[in-house]
Amino acid sequence: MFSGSLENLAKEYVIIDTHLHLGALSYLYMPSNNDENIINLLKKFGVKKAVCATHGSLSSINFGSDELPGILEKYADFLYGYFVFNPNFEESSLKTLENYLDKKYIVGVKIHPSWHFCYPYDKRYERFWDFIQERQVPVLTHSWNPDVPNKAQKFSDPFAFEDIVRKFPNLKLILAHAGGRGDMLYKVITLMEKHSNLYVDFAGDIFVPGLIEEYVRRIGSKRLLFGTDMPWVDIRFQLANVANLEVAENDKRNIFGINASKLFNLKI
Amino acid sequence: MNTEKNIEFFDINFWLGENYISKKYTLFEEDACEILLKRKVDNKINFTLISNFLSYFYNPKAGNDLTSELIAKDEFKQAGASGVLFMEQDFFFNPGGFESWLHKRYERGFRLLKLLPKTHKYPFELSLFNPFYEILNSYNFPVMINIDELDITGNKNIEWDKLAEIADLYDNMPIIIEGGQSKELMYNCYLLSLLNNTSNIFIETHNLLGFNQVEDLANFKGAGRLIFGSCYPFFNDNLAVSRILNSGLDIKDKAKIASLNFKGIIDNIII
Repeated sequence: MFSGSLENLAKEYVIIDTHLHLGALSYLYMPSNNDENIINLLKKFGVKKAVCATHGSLSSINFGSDELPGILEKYADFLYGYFVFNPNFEESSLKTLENYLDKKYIVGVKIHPSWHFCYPYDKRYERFWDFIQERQVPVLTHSWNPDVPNKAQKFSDPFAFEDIVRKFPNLKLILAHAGGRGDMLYKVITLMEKHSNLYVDFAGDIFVPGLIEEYVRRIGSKRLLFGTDMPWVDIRFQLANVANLEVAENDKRNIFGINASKLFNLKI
Repeated sequence: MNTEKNIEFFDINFWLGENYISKKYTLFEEDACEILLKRKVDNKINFTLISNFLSYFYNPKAGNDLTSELIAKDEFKQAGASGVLFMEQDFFFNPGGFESWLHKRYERGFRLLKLLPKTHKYPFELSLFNPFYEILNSYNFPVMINIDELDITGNKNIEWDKLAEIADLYDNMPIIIEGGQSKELMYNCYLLSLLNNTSNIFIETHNLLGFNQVEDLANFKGAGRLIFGSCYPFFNDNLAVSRILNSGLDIKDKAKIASLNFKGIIDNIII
């Protein structure tokens, strides 16, 4: 059991947060929530690099794209970004994406089928998947159990991606939240056993005891990523969760940061 | 006390017994003491209030009786265990028996009443539960309620104002709110308004998951309004303990949240 100060983890592990959010969101009020406070807390607890999607990119079109460079440049060499593709503005979103992928601070693309109310196999995503296959950039997608009160989660059913990862074997797709709730957290392991181009993070409140150990036992640790979902979930919960895993030290190293450095080609 | 290693915890949210829908979340009585003692060693969780799954899933009275038997045992006493009462529906038929029942249960080691109005289908509202609130208030006896239990539609329509009304009228009765399964419930301004407009509403900490939420709430109305709970076995107690110990609060505030606040509440019970 890890019982020391979480600040000491950075002495043993390279920590890369692959899933956080910056910027405001209309229905998410937290008194301390601003970019500087979030970055300072990540650094205090030894995070070496972080990859973010801004709330503005998810909830707007032009505003989000316009604010992103400033944020990433302000925290250059520490903060990297996902460009958010919005299928409801397919044409303009693809065009902007094409420009952004040349920027060194954009290391992946994020999609959020539930946020944008669009299944990943919808026609509006077709050109996006072709484009991504061609450009070979990792994609982070929200994934969740459709069998929950929030009906929008049906758009992010992990199994909705199965035909896509089968069709595009070179695609590297990260299922954020590992399916989110209930038995889906375990069904995703089966999905990952079948498709070696799937990755997963446990960002958010995915604190089911023994869950990550089950992933490591069945598929190994090389496709598991550390993500916080800050500011939705405080990094201190995530650090303690991984630090207390009952897995080999090498597996913890992989999860905390080694896997992310390879996937996103981040120098550490 | 001058180091964080000396901070002891009082866990008010610990579930024991048969969880018939999940073996993973079942903790059999014969294994419980070992777990409680291990938590003492690992995390200095020296005191624990036991909630029994039997009360939740089967019958509040049967669960209360079973908990009563357990906490009377020497090994449970040594493990620092006391009990959580669950409201028994018989008292809606026979309200007159509630006061003597509370006395007896208190004498057997129960220190908190948990309300499950949604799951067990009874009212918690001021106008309907008031005979019981009157008695609880007169004894300064604490109640705990999970926010999911106030979400009648299951769509996050929480009746926050009803909590404020109850707290306002019965201000000697501590009301401890647990965040429930839906983390989104905690990212709102209702909690701030509840804390600001009452003096006897407290928040259990295990799923204050949001960025800096523990610190923000403590700085808003004082660390005295936060009370440690682990939500074991659904949640690894290492996470709940670690969050408090690694918070940006001073050591006195950490100690308050960890155990002193709830000790103060039970010391204040007058029965």
